[in-house]
Amino acid sequence: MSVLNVALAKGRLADISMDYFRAAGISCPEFDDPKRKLILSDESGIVRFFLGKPSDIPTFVEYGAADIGIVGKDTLLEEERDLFEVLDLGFARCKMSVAGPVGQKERWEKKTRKKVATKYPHIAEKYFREQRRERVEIIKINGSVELAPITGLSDVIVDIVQSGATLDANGLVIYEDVVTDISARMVVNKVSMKTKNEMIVRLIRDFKAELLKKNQL
Amino acid sequence: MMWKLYIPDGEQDILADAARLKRETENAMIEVFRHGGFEEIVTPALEFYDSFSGQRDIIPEENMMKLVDGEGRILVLRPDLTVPCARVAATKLRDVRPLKFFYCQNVFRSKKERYLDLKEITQAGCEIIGDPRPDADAEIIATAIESLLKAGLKDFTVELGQVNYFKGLMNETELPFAEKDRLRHLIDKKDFLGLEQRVDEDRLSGDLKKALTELPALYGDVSLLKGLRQYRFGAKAKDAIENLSEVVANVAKAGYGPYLAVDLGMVSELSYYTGVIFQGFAPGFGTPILSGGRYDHLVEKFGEPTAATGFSVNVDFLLDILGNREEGNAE
Repeated sequence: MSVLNVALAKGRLADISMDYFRAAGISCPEFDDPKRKLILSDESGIVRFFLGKPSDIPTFVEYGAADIGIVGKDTLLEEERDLFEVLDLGFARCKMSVAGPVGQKERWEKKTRKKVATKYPHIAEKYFREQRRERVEIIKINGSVELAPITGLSDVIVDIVQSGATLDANGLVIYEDVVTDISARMVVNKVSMKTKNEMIVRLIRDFKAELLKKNQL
Repeated sequence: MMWKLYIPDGEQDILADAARLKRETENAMIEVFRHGGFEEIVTPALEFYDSFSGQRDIIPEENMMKLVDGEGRILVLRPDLTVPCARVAATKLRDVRPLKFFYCQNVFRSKKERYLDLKEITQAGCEIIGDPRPDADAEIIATAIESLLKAGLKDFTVELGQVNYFKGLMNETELPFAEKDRLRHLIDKKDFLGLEQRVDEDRLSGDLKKALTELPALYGDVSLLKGLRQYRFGAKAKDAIENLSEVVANVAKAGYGPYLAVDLGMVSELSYYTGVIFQGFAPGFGTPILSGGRYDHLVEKFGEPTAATGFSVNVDFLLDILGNREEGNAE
């Protein structure tokens, strides 16, 4: 029997995903080893897990290096890869918004050339072009996006918002929402869906059953 | 002067063994085409932009390489070879039906293909213009399979779909276009759960609801077509299944049954294709190497309503697979 390769986004997403794999009868003791390797096998040797940077997961899956991936909708929208997106797993729920300094929204609206700092240049550019019919200056930032408007690098940011606490602590508020239904998704390579159909369909079914049980739906 | 040592992005020099493999592969395929009674068509690399515009599903405007001629008209380096066949069929050869063309030429895109990073790609393919019968679709699919085999590819699958199945199901609903398109998108992404939820919200009835939620899972062995005959969901969807079953039976009769599979959830290029569609996959290669289908409205664009069906093989993808696997040269 062939091995099913699963790519997981490192961090909290991988931790929660592993609970679902366990519920589907796939356990991976190596996962709990603090000196974690990048490639882990489950006990039966049927499933092999890769741990990668979130933005690399869709790439691994599109090219077929991994058959399945679990990754946030934000990353999928940014990468726009050609994949099957088979299941909304419901966890890691958040939204993506335009946020800027408190009380500056009206002034910002009137600015001719708006500067937008973001980790998601593709989503931001598309949002301003398609929803607002506007050309804006996109500034790609790799971390601590909130710094950008505070230091004057940009007028606003486009970023994911969970509780809003980070924004609040930095004197920023949401101006408008860009995407409201972000959560973890299971994605499948288009060829693997056919060639490893039985394993993948069973996994989807088991995940779905566990979702129902946990009432994520 | 500083670029003289380089070639532009998305281009390639093909040398020695690779060049020989390419030539042999093309020749092996061309022999199959000729044997099937297809005649070669050689069309210009430069054509008017107007000929290719308005086919967003297949070739978006932003993916065409354009230049301007001395009269200020917009030209493109041909991004596709089916359109030139349709143009010739509707103009110079409008009194000849059916036409059976084959081509083996390069197409040009302004964006790199995601696989192999190429902007200039060799395509080999066939078109039958002026024959609406399922026999023509079957002949096209059988020719495609035989050409891949003769090129030396052993392990591949051709998946067949029928766009009128989805279109027919949608005709039975009263949903606005935007909602139909949302459902189409969910099916195309095989988003099983998202589709279930949407269909629940749309309050579709009995058989229709069941047929729609099943659609992303309707792939695999061709025998699954039999099960679809039990539904009552309008003539168009029913005819689509009958039509696809007939094409499958014809291709199987020609001895190519083992290469066939179906996927009725292929719903991405609905404004271009009008009937049976198909894609060919090789294991371990993440994108189709072969694609085609029935396109009964394209020739009409040039003034002559004509049924048509065809396929094209991405020769560069095929060579990448043959080269990597050393499955042997053309037979």
